[in-house]
Amino acid sequence: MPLVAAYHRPTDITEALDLLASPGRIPLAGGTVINADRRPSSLEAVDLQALSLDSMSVDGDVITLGAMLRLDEVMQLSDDLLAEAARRELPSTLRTVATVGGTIGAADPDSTMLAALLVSGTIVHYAQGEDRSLAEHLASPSGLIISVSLSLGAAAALETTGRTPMDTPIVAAVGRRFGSNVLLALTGVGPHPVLVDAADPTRDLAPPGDFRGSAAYRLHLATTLSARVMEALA
Amino acid sequence: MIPICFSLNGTEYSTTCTPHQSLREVLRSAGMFSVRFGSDSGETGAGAVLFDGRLVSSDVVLAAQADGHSIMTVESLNTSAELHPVQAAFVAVGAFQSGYSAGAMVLGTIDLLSRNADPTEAEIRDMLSGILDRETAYVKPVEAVRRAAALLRGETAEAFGPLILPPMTDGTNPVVYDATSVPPVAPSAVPRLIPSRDVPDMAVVGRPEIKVDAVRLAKGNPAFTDDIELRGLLYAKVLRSPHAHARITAIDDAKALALPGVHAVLHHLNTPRVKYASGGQSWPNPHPHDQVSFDDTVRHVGDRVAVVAADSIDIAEQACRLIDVTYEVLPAVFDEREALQPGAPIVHAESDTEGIHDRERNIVHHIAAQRGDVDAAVAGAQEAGHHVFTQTFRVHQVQQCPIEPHISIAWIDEDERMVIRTATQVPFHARRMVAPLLDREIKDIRVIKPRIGGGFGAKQEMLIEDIVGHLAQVTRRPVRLELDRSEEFIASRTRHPQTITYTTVVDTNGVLVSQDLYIIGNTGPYGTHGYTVQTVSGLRGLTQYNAPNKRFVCDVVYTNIPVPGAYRGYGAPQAEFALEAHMEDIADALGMDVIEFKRKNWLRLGDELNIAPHLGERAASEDELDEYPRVMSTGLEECVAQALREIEWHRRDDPQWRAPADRPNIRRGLGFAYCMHGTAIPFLDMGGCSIKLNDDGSFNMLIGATDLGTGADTVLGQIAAEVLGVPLEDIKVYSSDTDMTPFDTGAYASSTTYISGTAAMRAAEAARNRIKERAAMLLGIEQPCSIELRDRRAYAPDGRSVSMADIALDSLHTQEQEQIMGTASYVSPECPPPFAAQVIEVEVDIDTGQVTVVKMAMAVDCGVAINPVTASGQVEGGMLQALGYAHCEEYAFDADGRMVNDAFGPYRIYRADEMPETTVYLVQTLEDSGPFGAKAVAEIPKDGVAPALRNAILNAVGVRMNELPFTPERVWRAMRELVG
Repeated sequence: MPLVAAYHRPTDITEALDLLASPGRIPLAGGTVINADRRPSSLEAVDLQALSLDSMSVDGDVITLGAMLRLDEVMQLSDDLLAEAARRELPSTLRTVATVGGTIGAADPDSTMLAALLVSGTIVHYAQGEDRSLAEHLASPSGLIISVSLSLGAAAALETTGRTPMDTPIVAAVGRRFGSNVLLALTGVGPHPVLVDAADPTRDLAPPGDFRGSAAYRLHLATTLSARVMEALA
Repeated sequence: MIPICFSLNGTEYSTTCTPHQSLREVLRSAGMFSVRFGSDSGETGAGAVLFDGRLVSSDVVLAAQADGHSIMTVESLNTSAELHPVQAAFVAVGAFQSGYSAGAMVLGTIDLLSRNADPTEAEIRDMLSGILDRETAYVKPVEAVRRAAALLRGETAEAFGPLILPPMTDGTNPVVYDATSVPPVAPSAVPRLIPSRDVPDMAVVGRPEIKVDAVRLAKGNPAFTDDIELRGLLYAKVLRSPHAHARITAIDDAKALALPGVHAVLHHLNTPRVKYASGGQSWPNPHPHDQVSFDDTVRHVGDRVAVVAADSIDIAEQACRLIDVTYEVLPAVFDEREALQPGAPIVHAESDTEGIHDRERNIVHHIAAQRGDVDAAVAGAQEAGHHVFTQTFRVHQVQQCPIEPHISIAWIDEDERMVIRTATQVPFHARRMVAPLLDREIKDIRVIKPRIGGGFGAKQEMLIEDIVGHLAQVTRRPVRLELDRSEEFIASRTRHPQTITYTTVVDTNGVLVSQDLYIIGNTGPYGTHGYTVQTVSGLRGLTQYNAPNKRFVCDVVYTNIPVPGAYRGYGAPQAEFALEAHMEDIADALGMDVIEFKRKNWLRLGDELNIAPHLGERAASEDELDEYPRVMSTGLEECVAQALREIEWHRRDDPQWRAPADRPNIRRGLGFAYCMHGTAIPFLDMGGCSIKLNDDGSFNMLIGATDLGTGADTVLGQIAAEVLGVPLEDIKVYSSDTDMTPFDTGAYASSTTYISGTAAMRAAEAARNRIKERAAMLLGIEQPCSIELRDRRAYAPDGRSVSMADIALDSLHTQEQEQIMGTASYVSPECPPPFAAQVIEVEVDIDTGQVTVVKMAMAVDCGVAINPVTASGQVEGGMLQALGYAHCEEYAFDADGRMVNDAFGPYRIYRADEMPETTVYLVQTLEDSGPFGAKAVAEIPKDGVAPALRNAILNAVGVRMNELPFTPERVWRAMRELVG
């Protein structure tokens, strides 16, 4: 995403949707991705900060996070997995800018935060009124995200391999147990983090290789780290 | 333009901005110079501010997003000359080196402590995770936050200084390792100091004095190159090559020149073709001179094509896109081994570059030196029953990564002279080297070096000064050029990749018979430091062990990778990685204890440096030498004893520790490396100093030496203060302005304390002699030499005294008036080696290959550490960079030579929240040739981490990693190969 040519700050959802209905306009959440890119463009930014989308609420075991809730605020959740995933996502001076909605919109294939959301059964809520699972959204992104709701389950586990302890993982495996069922997600194995079959986590995976890890190595890590997560949740 | 209004440090601030203008840019326009540029993507944190009370990188926030919010910068604390307690805490523990990111660290601490009055170390490190630092290894910043927390809780904090430890050895001989001996307990930031009985107690030298520039750094005051406002300033942007090797067949700048706001476009068709070599080195710069400001051939992705000067960076960038360039793409070569092969693309086919050793094979230099007869030693080995070991290692390309990128600003002054304000390590070299390119005499150029935000060798180069000089001459306006982070990776300088082969002959007792070292050094498309760096690799790779037969052969070759140059360590880290790995493996093969094997062969007091005189810019033949230089001071055995105790070396052989039962996928290991470096370049490095007495008894000290953040200004001030009998605060240091200060070769080769320090000492001695004579006049003493200077007074033997201020007033205003001053310069015939022992503890995941470094410790003999806090900071920062070199940093390219990870993140440098425990020991020795016994400390910490880490991995999982860096897949594949 490149340098923007115009800036808008709508004050309600309707105005935001009107603005975004025009081609060439993109929603601006925190800005750690869009504003970091200095390539010029004719795109226009629609800043969502005035839409009051930064709330957090709890209803039973379901938590709803506003799209503009920042990752440093997610770190304050009592859930260890989400807090740790938010901490790992970005360093201190950037997670105070980055948001839940922006993280979903960026769909970084290496995002531990997205993997943690995937295994939390996250449902994405749109301004247009339709809900979809996060997995469906990542597979086919569309719509203005206003919030997500998720369940924390009983136990969770996170396993990563990186060049250094806090490096963006080459591959991360994230799992969360719901009763007898375990949701398992992987990063670094495709165009975005994916939910995988806990019994056969590498099935249908064809990860791209790069200088941090070849395709074969990533498959090996997927197998190894998934097994560790499943063992931890057994 | 968008009107915006926000609270800036408590006051409403209204301005306008463009839609894409960052908050950092607007804040700097508002005079908030503490908000600094490190990268547009915000990972460096140098531009972090408090945004509604939380620490935010202002790089990634649009100024428009800040409308209606509250912004706080560190300037808000500067309501008086006094420091805020948080600023004071950072100053007290020496947490700032260059201080480029000081504002962010102070603000982050204020934010953290406002939410948590007593944070844990993990919480402190998490706060610092967004502020990258290449200088401190985060050790002292963590301590500063702890101290600030204590101060704000109302607790008192003791003065920060070293932990004094008794020696474990007699200074010469080894001691038997004692597994029951427990390492001392103290925070990591506290340097462990083992004094030498040979070193007298001194008033200023050897003390943990506060840095002379600490206040300006803590306050974020405008001190750096970019912290200046000039009317009519133009902004430059360089159009860079998208090809690794191509000929420019046509270039059309008409559309760019027609763009409103564009003032000049320069390229090879309108710029004089003056050949030069860009390495910041003494005159005459080594040949070949293979560069011009703008060439008709580009030789790496990122090479210069053209430059634009315009009213804004946006316009300059837009104009670059309007320059129509036609390229004839040429074949390229990237690997130094392939570049040597017949038929490889020729990188320099032009006829006007002279001095290339073998143009057809891309060999720019062929270096050879020998003592004894290596071939005979190898040939006779079998008959003599000796062992012959040959190993090849490959070391890779990494970058210095100063958080402040290269930046230069040039203008024509009122006398029509060229002034260049620039972030350089070599202001005097830069002035001399840029003069012919600008068709000016040296006397018509002034180079000013302000505070630098780190250099590490990248700024030992005349890199962009010619560009701003050309543009200032053409436009007659001030012109500023700052590299962005991508340009810093692809278009500044890097460490040289090398292929290194050792062949070593060892007798049946484990004594070295010969060492043969062959290096293919990759200097990229330009020679710059190619000759000297590779020479130092030979020097360092063949000096630290005794052997009667030694040979160094090296081919320095051209390729089409981004340009290597000087990087802290300067060829030593490459060679010492290979050497210390090779020696480890030989010990293993011989069934010897590795330390006993190395000890049997390492240099001792009085041993000859038997190949050193035959290498380097002033190399001599055996016939020309009366004698070889010798080791005149060494604390190596004490270093080894302290380091092994610190790392609890006995665990290396404990199977239960190495394979913890509760973590079945983890294996632990310990590694050791012995290090030896040099101190300055003998007969070449020179420093000058001038000191004058002021009315109040204080002194102005003018030095050519370049403080990169290392504390050089402080250390040189301490030396002068010690001589003159005054506290450091009475020495006002001004450095590195070619119009104002004496000459100095610059900040490199671990020379500043030793060379410039001796110049400072001698200048101070000259002033002291005159002060004594004036004091003797005032006191009626006939023998000035009997006068002693201390505590700002001159004392007669009978106890009478006169103050320094009275001497100053008398000499400046009363009788036989004169300006008391001293001037001196120094060049050394010696190169006394510092020694060190490096140890590392690792954990290796046997399923994934992930290596986790748990602990690093280095014990260094740097002679007398003039300031143990700044010296330990040098060691900490050096180890951090060395750890990145060994573990995670690397250039990655696509098949066409384009770097694919030219940003922090993909190019991984260590953050605060993942650093291993890092501990420093300073083992004192008295080096008679150095000022107050000092030797070098800046570069030796770069030498031992890679081999010690490699050897720790070997200890943990049994694999011999002969290629850097030790990333997870490389280690995993090595383990797989080991088990077949």
